[in-house]
Amino acid sequence: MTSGIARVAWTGVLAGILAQASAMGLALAGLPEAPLTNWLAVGGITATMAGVLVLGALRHGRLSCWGAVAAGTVVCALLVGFSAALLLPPETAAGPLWLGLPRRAAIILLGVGLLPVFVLPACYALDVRVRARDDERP
Amino acid sequence: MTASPVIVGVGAAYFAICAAIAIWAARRTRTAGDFFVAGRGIGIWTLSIAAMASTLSGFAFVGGPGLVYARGIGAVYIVLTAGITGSLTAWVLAGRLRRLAELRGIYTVAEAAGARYRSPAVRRLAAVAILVATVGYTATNLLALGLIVDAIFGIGRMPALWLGALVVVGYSVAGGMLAGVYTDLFQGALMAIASTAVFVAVLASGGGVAGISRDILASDPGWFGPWGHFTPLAALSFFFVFGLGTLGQPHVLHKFFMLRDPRRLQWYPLLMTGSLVITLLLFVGVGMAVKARVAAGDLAPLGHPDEATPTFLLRYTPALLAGVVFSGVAAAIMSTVNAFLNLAAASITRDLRIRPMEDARELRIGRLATLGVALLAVLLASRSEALVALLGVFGWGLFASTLVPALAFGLIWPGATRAGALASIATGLGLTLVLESLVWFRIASLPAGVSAAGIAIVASLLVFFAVSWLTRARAAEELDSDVRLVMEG
Repeated sequence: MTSGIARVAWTGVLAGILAQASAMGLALAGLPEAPLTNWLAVGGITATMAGVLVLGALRHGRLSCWGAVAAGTVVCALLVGFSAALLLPPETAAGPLWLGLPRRAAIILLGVGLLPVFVLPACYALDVRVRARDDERP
Repeated sequence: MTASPVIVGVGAAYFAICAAIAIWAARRTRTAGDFFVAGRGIGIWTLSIAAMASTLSGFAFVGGPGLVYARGIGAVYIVLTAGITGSLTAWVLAGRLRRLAELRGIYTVAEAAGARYRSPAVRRLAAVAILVATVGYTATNLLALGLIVDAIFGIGRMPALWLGALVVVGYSVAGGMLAGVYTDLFQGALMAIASTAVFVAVLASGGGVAGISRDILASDPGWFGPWGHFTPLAALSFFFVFGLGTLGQPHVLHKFFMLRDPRRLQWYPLLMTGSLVITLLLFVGVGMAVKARVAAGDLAPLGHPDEATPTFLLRYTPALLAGVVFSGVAAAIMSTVNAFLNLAAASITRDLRIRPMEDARELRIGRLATLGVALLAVLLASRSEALVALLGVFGWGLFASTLVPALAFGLIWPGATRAGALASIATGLGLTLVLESLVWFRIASLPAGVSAAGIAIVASLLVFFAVSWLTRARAAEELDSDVRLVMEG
């Protein structure tokens, strides 16, 4: 039997893969730099990665709070990071730096690249601990 | 090329340590289980560092920094998924594969796929895909190893290729995976130490991150844009292919079968992701630093982007560190080659065999298969660079498009069917070989942002879901009760 969370996650995965296929199709049709192409790719990546993570973390159809935090982090990091990269204006040589980097590069390198490093492994360790505790219960 | 005595000394010490580990492991390799899955006796630290070392090939130290130098931040998308993939792999596959291995006595990734669908055909087709990809990937890595060994010892490319191959094939044949994981542990630690030290040199060379940024922004602001000199779709496609594709890399997944205590998997993402990110500092840092030094006029523009790492090392780091990094590059390549050789040997010995064999014979055949695949790869590497380069481009995409649907999605979806798995593996295999060949021979071209690997992954996933849905009536009968329990997490 498929739980509600699993259904949402599978919908995300399938929609994400179809969005990615559509982005490739638009690029093959001669629109590799159209805004729609880029937004389909951003949505496709976010939905697929977060959906797969949720499906992997489900146990007997339930998602622990740590699995939910991890999935939320992936959605936020990818969606906010890539959207900011698409929407924010280009930097100038004299513009302010964020932690030594131009603003959009900082969002990508630190937000998309580094933020999950500090959250996801901790969520996994805590999720495993919760599962072990559940297993020990009579 | 005249080699520095310090670099030669460090390189010689590195190869001597690898040889010593190989001799130690060879004495302890007595069964096929020792040879193929290190006797299922390794700890979580060894597993995590070995997985990291196998994940990164020489590309992370030479080709990658060169690409960052040439194309900017967009090239970083190849490794930008590192913060996610370790945890994603753990949640989707680590525990499930480890429990399946324990229940069924599984040694290979193809065997796991076969057990999932109770299908020898799925197992054999997955093994063929793994074999095709590993031979090409091994030949490419051996060619790169020849270049690095020549850079260390200055003995010429062909002798260097044979010397490097002799060491890695020697320990792979003698000690199998037992030698492999412990040399991986040493090699992974060396790669992480070298990368950290180089990153310190990167910061010192350009006046910190801010100084490097200012130098680059003044001459080429587009380099520091969020996609570098790639289109947004091209950079995002890197993220998709290398993010999702991680779930189908058998040289990493195979290591889960070797873990002694599955409860320790709790720490896998922390150790794997931490060591991977540290080691990737060189990938990002060297490309940035060389770009900044060229922008500031300290360095002449490079003749070829692949010169970024050697140029930086020889100009901005002491000879001892340069020697450690050159050895680190050799380590990255050798750990990958060893993993591929073992995978190929396991595919031949266990997945493609006609009938089961006794343990001692399996160990003997495993060693012979390792030697045979290695010889084939060395001969390919020494005879035709063009063919090797073509075979090399198959690797990642072939693994991803054939194994992500059937194995990764198959283990989280009870509705997947044998027909879906077979169709998706065949689609991934066929599309990758045809598309990559068409692009390679310039018969067809793909627009920016669309890669053969990306098309193959998406197509094989869609075929997997569509065929499984069409044959859904058979899903339940193709799933054994113990495998269903494993899949429930």
